[in-house]
Amino acid sequence: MLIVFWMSPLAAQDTFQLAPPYMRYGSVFFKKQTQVRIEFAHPGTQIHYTTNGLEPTQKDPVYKRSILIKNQRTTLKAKAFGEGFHPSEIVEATFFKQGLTIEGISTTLPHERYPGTGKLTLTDGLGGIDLYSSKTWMGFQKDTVTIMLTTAKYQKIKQVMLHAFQNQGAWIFLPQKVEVYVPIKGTNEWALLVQKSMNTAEKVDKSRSYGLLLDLEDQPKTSQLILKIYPITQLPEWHPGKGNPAWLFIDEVKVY
Amino acid sequence: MKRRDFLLNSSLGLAGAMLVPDILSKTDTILGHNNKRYSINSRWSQADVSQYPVNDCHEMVQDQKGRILLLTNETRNNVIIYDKNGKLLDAWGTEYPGAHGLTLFNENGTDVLFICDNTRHQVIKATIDGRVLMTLDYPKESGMYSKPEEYIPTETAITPNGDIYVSDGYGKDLILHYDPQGRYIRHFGGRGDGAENLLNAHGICVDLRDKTRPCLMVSSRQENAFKRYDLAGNYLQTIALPGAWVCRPVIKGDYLYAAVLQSESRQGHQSGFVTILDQQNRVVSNLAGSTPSYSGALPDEMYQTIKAFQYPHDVCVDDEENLYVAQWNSGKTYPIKLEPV
Repeated sequence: MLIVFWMSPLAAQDTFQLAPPYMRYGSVFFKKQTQVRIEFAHPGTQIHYTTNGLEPTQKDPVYKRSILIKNQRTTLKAKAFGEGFHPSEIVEATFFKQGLTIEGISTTLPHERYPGTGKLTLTDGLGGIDLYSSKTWMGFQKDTVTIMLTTAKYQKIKQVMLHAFQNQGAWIFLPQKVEVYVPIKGTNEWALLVQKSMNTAEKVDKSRSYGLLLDLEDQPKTSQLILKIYPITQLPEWHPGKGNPAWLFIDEVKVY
Repeated sequence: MKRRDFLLNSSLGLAGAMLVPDILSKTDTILGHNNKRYSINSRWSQADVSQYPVNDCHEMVQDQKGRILLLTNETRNNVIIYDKNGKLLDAWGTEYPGAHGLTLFNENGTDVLFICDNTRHQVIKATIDGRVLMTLDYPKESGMYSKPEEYIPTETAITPNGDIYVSDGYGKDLILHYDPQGRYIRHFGGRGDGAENLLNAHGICVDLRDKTRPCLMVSSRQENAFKRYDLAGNYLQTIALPGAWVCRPVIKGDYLYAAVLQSESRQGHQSGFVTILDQQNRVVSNLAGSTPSYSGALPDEMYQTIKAFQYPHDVCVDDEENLYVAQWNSGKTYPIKLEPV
């Protein structure tokens, strides 16, 4: 009975939804630990949050002071609740710890409008800002984007992470495929180790930055890697700008 | 509070409201802070949507008869005229595909309108019932433009003596100054890194609150600020409003009202609100936005807290201090009325 009231059009018009709270951080990439603040200056509301990946409920902790993030990979989710309002949508961010040291990087030339901060954009430990105008993002309109990495040591590599942006309203799509190559010893050839294809042309309303993880099952010993990224090249049929070139935005690469 | 209790309370509140049908069209939600708090009525317009559709609702003004005029880029009726209760009185205009800016000027006792058309790259002066009195083409005389397409005027402001200021908010962000007959005098603002420059000079008004020093108040929307200039275009001051994409400043009494298209931290996600500044240009209230607070001279970053608006584009303050909020790109919805509490 109560639920019927809740869902009726009358109730929907008489009750507003809270906006999602605002997470404040310098970067989603950190060395040892990082602090995250959550803001929501609206009297009588509470922010509940989780770091276990689950949707926050009113049983989860209430945000009081900045949250310390230490674990290798932590997803922080928060939601605003308040009497007389529908709870907000979830706001979330995933934080990534420093990986193996990358000594050298060369990247396909980005579009002149979104050059990032130059050569070191993808290894400067800065990013995860949900604003396409942020200088942390490098933007491309290409069929393929190639990144060549040299790590400080010759060592086992378990995983590669490419951090990309999704904001379809601003014509920015996650890549449809990513491949990782390692050099074949004693030759000039490269071997394809892993590839990951994703259905990223589907419509998603939220904008978010996203860490694409590629597990290298063989865990090869190497100091060199090539990432080949295949962006969505054209905006899909459902998109208001269909047929126009789509953008790929990336801000960081990590190896673990 | 448990979710179950929360549901229970909400439905009780509703049952209470149902006993009093008069307030069904309003909500119990009060928006704003300090002495600027309002109830919200999202069902103000009584226009029949099939006959009087709107596209983007760009701007609103009140005329001397007390009527509320809405400007939309829907060419079936670019101007819709309401009474304060939302009853449709009249509609006109089919020739303004880019209708964007609407300013009312009392010219020797007679109301005249200035319409900025983004698509036509023109400013049109018209009578209150739509007869064209003057058309200003792109300001070739300024030496800053080589073709009409470079000029995308968004707003006008008229001084008491009839001088016209046009903000080219989607073009070159210049402010163009004309005499009452439409003769070019000068230009200022424009893009750049200086304090006197503008980024998305979306709105402009004449600020006569300090009678001894009339000035121009201009939105630098993408910069989240207003900028003040004297009437000769000399830069005076920046009023930083971190987080707020402020549309045109609207001055009524001692206060300045502005629709905030969206929150800087959440662009492209219907994150608008309305902000109100006092005579000292300090934020005193944010309707559907964060509680105003200051760190020193600067406001703390502002943002939407309640999803009551999508993309507010203008505020009109009537003679009884009610507000009307017109919205851009918000599902072709009619304006929302707010009444002071």
